[in-house]
Amino acid sequence: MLERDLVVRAAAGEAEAQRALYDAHVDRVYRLACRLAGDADLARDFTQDAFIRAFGKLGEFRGDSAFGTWLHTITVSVALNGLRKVRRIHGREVGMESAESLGGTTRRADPDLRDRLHAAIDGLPPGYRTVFVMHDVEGFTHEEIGQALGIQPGTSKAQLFRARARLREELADFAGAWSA
Amino acid sequence: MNDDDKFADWLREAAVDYNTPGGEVPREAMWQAIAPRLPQAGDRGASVGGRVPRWIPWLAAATLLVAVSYQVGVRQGERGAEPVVASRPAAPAAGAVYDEATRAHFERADALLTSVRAASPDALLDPALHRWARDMLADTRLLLDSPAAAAADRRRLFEDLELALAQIVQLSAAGTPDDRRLVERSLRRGEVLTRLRNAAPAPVSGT
Repeated sequence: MLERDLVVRAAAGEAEAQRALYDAHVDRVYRLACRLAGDADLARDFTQDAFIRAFGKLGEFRGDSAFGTWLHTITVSVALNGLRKVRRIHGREVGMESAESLGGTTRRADPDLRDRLHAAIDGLPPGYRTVFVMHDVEGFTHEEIGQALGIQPGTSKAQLFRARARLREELADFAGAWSA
Repeated sequence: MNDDDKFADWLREAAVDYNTPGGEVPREAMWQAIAPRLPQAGDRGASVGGRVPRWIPWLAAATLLVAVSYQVGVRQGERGAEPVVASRPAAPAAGAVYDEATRAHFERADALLTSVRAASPDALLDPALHRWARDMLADTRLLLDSPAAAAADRRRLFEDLELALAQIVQLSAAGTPDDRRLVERSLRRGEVLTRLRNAAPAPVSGT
C-alpha cells in the first residue's frame, strides 16, 4: 500500500494504518532522538511525543514532502524543545552551552580521543550540533536537513562547515590522527 | 585529498558511535504509550479537517449571548420600555481576542527584528535584545499552540518567526559576525519582516 494512502487512513483514525506508519519510521526516529538526546529515556520520550504530535497533526500534512521528512521535522523540533527544557532545569548546576562543563563529565585525567570528540560535539552550539549529527552521524542530506530545520540547504552546509572547524580546533592536540 | 577532506572523513568515522542507541528499539513499549493518545476513527476530531477548534464553542456562546441580548432589547422596545443600554461593552469573541494578541505579537516581533538588523553585525548582540528575543520566542511558541495559529498561512509565519527568534537566541552563546549575517540572510530570504507587516490582523474595532 502506498504511504500516501496510509497517511490518509491514519489521519482518519484507523489504528492499523497508524501502526503501519509507526513501524515504518520508528527506528530512524528513535535513532535520531538518541543521537540528539544522548540519553535513552529522553530519546524514548521524544520519540513518543514526536509520533503523538505527528498523528495529531496529520490533517495538516500537505504532502509537499515525504511523510518521513515531515516526521523528522517534528522529531527534531520535539527533541530540541525537550533539550532546552532539560537545560533550563539543570542550567544552574551545569552550564550546558559550555563545552568545558559538558565535557567535564566524560573527560578523564588522561582523555582519549573518542571522549574528547564526544565532549566537543556536546559542546557545539545547538544549531551546529544538530546539523552535524544529522549530516555526519545520521547521513541526512543538506536538503533533508534544510526541510527538517526550516533553513536553506546552504545554511545547513555553512553550519556543518563551522561545526567541523570548531571540532578541529577542539581536537588540535590529535591532528596526527587524521593527517597521517 | 586536502587536509579538510581528510579531517571530514576521519570525523565521520570517529563520530559514528556518538550517542549510539544502545540495544534494541523499544518499539512495543513506546507504542503502548503512544496508542491510547492517538485520534481514533469515530472521534469527533479524527477526520482530516474535521477537528473542531477550541475557540468555536466560545465564539458560539458569545454570538448566542449577543443575539439573545438583542432580542430582549427589541422586545422591551416594542413594549415601549426604555431602550436597553449596555452598561459595559460586550466581551470580544475568542477569535477577536486571538487576533488582537497576534497583532500585538507581530508588532513586537517587527520591532525586535528591525532592531536586530539595525545592530552592527560585527559587535556582540546587545543582551537586552537577546532577552527580548528569548521572551518573544516563548510567546511565539505559546501562540503556535493556540487557535491564533489555526490558519495555515499564519501558522507558517509563526513557525518562520520561531526559527528566526531561535537563531537570534543562539547568537548570544557564541555569535560571530558570520552567524549574524546568516540570521540576516535567513530573515531576508524568508521575507519574515514583510510577511509580519502584511499578516497582522486589523485592530479589533473599539479597542
